[in-house]
Amino acid sequence: MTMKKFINSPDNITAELLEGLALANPSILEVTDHNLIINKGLATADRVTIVTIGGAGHEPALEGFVGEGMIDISVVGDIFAAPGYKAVVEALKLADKGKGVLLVVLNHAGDMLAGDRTMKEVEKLGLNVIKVVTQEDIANAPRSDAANRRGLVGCVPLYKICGAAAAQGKSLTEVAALAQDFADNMATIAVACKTATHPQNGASFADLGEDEMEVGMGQHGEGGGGRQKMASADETAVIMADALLNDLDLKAGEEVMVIVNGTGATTIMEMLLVFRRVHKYLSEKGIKIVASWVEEVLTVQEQAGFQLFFARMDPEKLAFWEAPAKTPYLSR
Amino acid sequence: MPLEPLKIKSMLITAAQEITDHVDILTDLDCALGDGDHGTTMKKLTHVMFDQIEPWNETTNLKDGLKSLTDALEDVSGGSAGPLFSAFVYGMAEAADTDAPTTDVFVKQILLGAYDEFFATSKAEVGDKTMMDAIYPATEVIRNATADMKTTLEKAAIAARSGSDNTAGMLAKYGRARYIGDRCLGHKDPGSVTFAYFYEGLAKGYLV
Repeated sequence: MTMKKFINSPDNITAELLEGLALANPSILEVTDHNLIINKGLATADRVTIVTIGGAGHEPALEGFVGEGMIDISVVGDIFAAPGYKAVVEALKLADKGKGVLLVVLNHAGDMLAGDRTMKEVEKLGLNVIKVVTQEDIANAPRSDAANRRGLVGCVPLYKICGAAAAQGKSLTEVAALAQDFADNMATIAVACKTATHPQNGASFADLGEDEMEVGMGQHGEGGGGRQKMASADETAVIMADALLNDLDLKAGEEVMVIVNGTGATTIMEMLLVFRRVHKYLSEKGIKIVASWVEEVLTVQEQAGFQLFFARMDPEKLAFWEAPAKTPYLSR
Repeated sequence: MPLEPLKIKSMLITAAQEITDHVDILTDLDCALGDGDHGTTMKKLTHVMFDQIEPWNETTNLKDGLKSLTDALEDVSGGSAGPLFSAFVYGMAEAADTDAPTTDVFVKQILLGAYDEFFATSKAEVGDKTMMDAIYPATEVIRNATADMKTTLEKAAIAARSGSDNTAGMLAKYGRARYIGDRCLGHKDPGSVTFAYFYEGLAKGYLV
């Protein structure tokens, strides 16, 4: 299979993309050894700090959200691969400014192994770290079986909300409780209609038919839930919104954040069609969208499709969501 | 009789070579079940093995050598296969007793120790369609061995290969394959295939 991507040596993609990110955003972040992307504001920070881990290849996430008001250090693994735990421990040591560190881990096998191993070292070293896991993909398991729920785009609004809380001087216990509360009240479902290729070996992940889409596609293009006939934007929006409403048990009168996250090859045009239908559908049900984001946030190379994300909101979380931030891919 | 580090070196280098020689097969298997990076990860890990083990000589302290190897493997960004493979090697290092009476006793110790640490990290059971389906049957052969070490390792390799082949008929309980339900049937677990090559390499590299 031939792969048409603008890359150089497959082995150097991660290092080169991180160098590019740092060169493009010299006032916001820097890249160090072990692929740590560090918020330049960390040097003078006197607050709780936020560290996260995850593989590259999902740009702009995760490392594109490093900066004031969001992530302080992103420990980047190779393409789609978790970083080694030693890099995570190093990041936590650097990040601890005496007020403690929130470590955010997405529920994927490699990241969880690295996270568990890291926490053993944290205990040995006596670092003040609380780990929170995001696991909001509803496709494969019910809410009661969180271990089998993957972490998808939900980590990104969580960084934003926790980053703002930390910036406003909340304690580690408070920031971690807020993170857990937000994580417990969010849900994502993904759909794909064309799969991506792995940029290091050109391999394609799945074999979706010309007229098929798959609801429940994972973070890396790996298969997930049900395959079905390709449907319109409106139909797909309703299928996915229903699944999220059901999972979160959202009721009339509640307020939500909605994200339509493009996974790489779906146009903003299509995503806006989807958002439009979701907005009307929720309005009909008396559910109010108080925060919205239609963007490529966490991608899967050139996978065509999107993730639909809902989170139950309250005034405090909304204020944190709307608070200032300065990162390469989210600023206000 | 003192330990013979060159024997251990030959086994581990040949095991790494067996895996490296079949990276494309591992990649193809992982594309069917996971996210397609298992071959890439194993290539990175085996390169670390070559770098670390090639300098070993007759006077190498094997426990120190295995510890350094573990350290270097843990630096690799390797998804879930990285930490699991590192745990296996860490188990070897922990169990390594440089006062072992013979090299064969030492080999048995480190391979049983590797299993213990792997099990503690992976938590997978036999039948879950993981690396464990190759590692467990091979370990049982080694644990209960009565024959000479060369024959034992050959039998362990056969057990690992057969255990790995059986994963094609299993539903996955761990890793990304569990998300695709019965569509994972008919495909072997790539991690188990890696360990089939690993044990085959150990047997092939064992110098009588």
